[in-house]
Amino acid sequence: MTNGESQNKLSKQAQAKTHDASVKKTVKKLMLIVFGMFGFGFALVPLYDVFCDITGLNGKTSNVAASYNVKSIDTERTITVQFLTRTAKGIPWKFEPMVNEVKVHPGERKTVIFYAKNESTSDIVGQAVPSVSPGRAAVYFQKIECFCFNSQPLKASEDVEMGLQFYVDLDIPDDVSTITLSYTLYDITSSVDS
Amino acid sequence: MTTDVIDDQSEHDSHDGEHHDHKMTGIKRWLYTTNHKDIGSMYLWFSFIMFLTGGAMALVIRAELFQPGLQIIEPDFFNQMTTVHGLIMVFGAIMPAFTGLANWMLPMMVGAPDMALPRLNNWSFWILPFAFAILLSSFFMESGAPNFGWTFYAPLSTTYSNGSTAFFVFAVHIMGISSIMGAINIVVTIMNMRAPGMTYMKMPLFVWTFFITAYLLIAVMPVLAGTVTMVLTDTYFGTSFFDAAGGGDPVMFQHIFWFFGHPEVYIMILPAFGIVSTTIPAFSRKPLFGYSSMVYATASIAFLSFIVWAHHMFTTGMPLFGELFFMYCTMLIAVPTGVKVFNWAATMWRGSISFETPMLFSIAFVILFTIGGFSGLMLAMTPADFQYHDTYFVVAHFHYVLVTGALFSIFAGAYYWLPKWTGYMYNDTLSKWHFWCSLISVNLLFFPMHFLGLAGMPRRIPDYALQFADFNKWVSIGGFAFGISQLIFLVLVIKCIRGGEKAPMKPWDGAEGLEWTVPSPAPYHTFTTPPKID
Amino acid sequence: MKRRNLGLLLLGGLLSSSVWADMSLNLTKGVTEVSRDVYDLHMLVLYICTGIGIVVFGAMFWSMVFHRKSKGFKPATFHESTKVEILWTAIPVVILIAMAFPATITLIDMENNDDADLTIQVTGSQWKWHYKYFDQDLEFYSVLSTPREQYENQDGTSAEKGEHYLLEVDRPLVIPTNKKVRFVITSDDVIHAWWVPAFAVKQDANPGFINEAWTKVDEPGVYRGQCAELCGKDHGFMPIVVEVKSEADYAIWLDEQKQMKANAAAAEAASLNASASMDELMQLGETTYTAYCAACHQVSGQGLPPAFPALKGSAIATTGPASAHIDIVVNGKAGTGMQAYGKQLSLKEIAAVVTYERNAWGNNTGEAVQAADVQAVSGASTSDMVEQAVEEVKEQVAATVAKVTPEEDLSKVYSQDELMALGEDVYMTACAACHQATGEGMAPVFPALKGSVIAAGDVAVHLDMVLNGSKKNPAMAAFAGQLTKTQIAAVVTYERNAWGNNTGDLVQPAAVVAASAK
Repeated sequence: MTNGESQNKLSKQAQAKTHDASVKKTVKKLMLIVFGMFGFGFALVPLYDVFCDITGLNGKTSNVAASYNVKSIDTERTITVQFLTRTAKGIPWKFEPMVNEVKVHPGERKTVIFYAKNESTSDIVGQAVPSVSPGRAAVYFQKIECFCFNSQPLKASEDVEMGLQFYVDLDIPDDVSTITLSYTLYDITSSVDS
Repeated sequence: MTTDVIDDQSEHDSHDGEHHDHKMTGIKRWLYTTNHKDIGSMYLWFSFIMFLTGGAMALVIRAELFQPGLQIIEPDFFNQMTTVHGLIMVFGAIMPAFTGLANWMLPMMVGAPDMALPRLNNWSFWILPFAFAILLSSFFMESGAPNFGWTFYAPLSTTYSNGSTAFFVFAVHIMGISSIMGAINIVVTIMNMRAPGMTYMKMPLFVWTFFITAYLLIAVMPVLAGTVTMVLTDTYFGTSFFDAAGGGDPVMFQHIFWFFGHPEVYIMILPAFGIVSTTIPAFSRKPLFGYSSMVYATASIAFLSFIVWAHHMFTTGMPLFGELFFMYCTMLIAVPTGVKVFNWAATMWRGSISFETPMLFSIAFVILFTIGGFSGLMLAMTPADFQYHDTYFVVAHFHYVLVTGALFSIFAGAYYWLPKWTGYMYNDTLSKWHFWCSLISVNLLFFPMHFLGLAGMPRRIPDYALQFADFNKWVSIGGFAFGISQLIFLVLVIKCIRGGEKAPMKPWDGAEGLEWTVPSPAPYHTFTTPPKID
Repeated sequence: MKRRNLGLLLLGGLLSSSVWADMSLNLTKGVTEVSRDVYDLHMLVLYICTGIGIVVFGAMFWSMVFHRKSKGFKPATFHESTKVEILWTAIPVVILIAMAFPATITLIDMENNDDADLTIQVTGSQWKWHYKYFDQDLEFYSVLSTPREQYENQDGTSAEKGEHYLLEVDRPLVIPTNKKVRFVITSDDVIHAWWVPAFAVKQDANPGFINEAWTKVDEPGVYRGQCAELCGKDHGFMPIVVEVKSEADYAIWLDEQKQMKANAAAAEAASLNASASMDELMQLGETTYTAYCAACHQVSGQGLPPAFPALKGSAIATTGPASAHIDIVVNGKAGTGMQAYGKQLSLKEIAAVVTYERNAWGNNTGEAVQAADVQAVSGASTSDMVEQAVEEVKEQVAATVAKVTPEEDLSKVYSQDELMALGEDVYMTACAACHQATGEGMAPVFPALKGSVIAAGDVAVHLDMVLNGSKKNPAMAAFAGQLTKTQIAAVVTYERNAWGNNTGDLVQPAAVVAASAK
């Protein structure tokens, strides 16, 4: 082995080493992206909720009671608020609003009553899930008090009148004159038990 | 590369790197191989087997739809067929075929001796058959196979699934891991193993498209993994990511799924762009027009693919501003895609064109993929999408993109490199038969679907109203003809492996690239010393 | 010989279809302003795409024909041109902007769901649609009405397929023309999509969330659509039919629906105290089972396990208590495909179907379930139901009878023919729901009038009953406030002379005035 060849071999080894190191570095970086994106997939869940809260993307209303501190009532405008109810599969309850619709002025506080009756022979815990349409109105629909904040246990053939107190924000967009609020009632007995 | 610290360890390392040198025999060769050419061949064979399996399912679907009424199968089994057909074609046929091409050709194109991570390479292939074994085994379980569509929308795939969700989720997890490992390998190889002098902007466009695709895979396959994990926990562990009763939202599933799903579509088409950008210049005997704009167009398509996902969901009840945003972004994709098509046409313009089979498939690709692009543009128009959505118009659209697009490009690539892989020329007559039969039948199969969709036939239905009967009949005939035509390809490949006219080092006079500087068939080890690029 | 026959058969099969309905090749123009805008947009983009296609493909074919190697064409060497590349980036951008304009305008119009004249809640469930008219107290399910034997051809037989094969339902949605109708769309289980091509309305039905869409139809007619989101096994079998009627016809239809609803409520109340024979239950049960249950549990009762369990030999339909069986039919089972049929079927139908399931396919439990058993499980008490029936009738009377109140001349003396004609009208709206058109009633809640003591006995007692209702039977409402004196006079006359009651008594309005003064 001549000196030159050995030199050559040594430099080749050096190259191989730096090559391996840079491969490792790239792999590490890429693995970081992989784990990052896996996490991002899950992060999309809260991100989506935040996004929906801000924009009303899916018509979900806030699950937190709003405080009523409106200074004035805009009597110029009238908003029609319609109520719809639906019971999910497997919950033998009667569930309906006492009035189909109310007319409110933005800023005005309003209370409506919903009636629920457990028509079965067993105790059931129900949970009403609200949805508002048009979705962009959801942000302006403020619930001061709502039975949907909590689950509702009813004994067999027990009935209850449940209140919803709300107001519509003053700065609701001009082109919204009707808001539809729908409640779907679910049987959550099993998840409450466990 | 400035360091000159040398120690014994590094010498040892470099010897270790050579350990895949000796070739084993029999089954062990294939099980233990870390050779990129072996692994590439296995990927290609695997994808072809999956292509025939998924194709057989498509034929069951077309047989049932041959005439109105339920003659052959039950609606539920029909749904299993459409679901598994989609999954197999996407994850089992198209994607592994591209990975196979990447394995075979990338190291040779960049002048590297092998992929950067050969053992990982072996793994990423060998877990794939298990993924599909799990998926297909569900057919023999009491639950039956997944029946919720390849898009597995919750809650149909969670609360209301038939019990196959676990099989589906684990299969997809394994497919995803395989894809991610393959993609990491591609990126690392391209970044670190290029021959000296091959700068990024000197890489063949084929390499560029796989480079960008691999990044897309690394970015979105983990999101898919996250999605299926959520589906799994929703189904079996009582979480409610997608269940309104527990505070979740089924529409969120679609957002997360399509955040993966739309880049996925480009994962299946960008490599196709790379292939035809290789073949068209070769048979036009003229360099690719606008190389750098091709690179930028590919990159911008990849970028745009991340901000258009909700165009799959216009009817889910999005607010107006969302619909407008996604409509505009989607329309924007037409610009870089248009640039590509114009560049291909300009490459052909005043070339010296000959019509070998790879070129035939490439030309068919450009025209038919563009038709798929046109219907894509129509679908992007939100108001019109309300009419097209979930009809056969969509089915026609994505089959034009994925069959006459992705699949035809794979055929073009296969014919182009078969002489290099096997050392023999393929049978030209058979290949022409394969092309013309495929071309005619594929259009008989998918073109009438546009009309069916416009006339109002929803997708994924096992039976249909009487006015759709005529067209469905022709579509089914086209389907069977297309299926049978693919057997010609199988025969051709087997014949080509077993012998034929000896292939020269460079059988195509217009071809460019390092792969043509090695003998045919390509020796087991190539470029152990890197070539010099000027 | 055989092979030739097969060939002929295939050929015949290919050609025979031409007798089937013609399919339009293009998107429908539809019957609303929005659907026409959508059609125009579709055509615009189609033409632009065709134009671009002709230019690009034309250039490609030109080079394929003229720039080929076999012709000895020598290749040029150019491989870029910044000018050209900028040009073909810029031109598409301009074209896209031109397309975005009409698209944006149409979209804004489509999304304007405000100020609707009529709201209808549309709910999808596996695999039927439910419609609820927001201010009409009217709701119903809409189910595929194509008979099973037309589409289940696996055994090689096939019944002749009807004209609207798979696109027909038992009760179509009915809406008026020229009114802005808003649909509020949701789902009971998985995601469905409500699509009527002629309106260009397609909107997903998401469980737990509501979506909106609207339409305003110009022309009366019947428009058909289908579910457009994979929703499980029978996704292809839940069509949508919308009947658009002129405003006048729509009003008539609404009245009819109320009448039907009153009749059904009365029948429901009556069925409680009736006891049906085993044969009757089994027969009704089989029909109901075929229509509502066989899609999943199969005609053979063997189901499609594991999603749709077998009923044949199952614990729930044999050894288990009938009450549990009824409960699952009435309330459904959460998280499964099993729906709540309490809202879809009458008590008698549920009783019949449970009886059928407990006795068919060798399940021979020998148990006959009666409507009262079902009612015991489903909660509402008998008096509630009777009350509800009475309410329905009252509403019905208020809606239809009161509308046509003429100026009354209480001193006028009517002829028998006049009284009988008017009386029959009144009877059909106000009384027939319970006492039936034949006067035979539905014993024991709704007694027969034909040959009854009341209708044949003292006129004063009869009048008092109609005016003030029954003290013993809450089902008999007081009609004094509901009907005019003339109408009461006529209906009492009718009851005393119809169905062979021939008493010959004529009751004049003056007599009613006298009776109600007491």
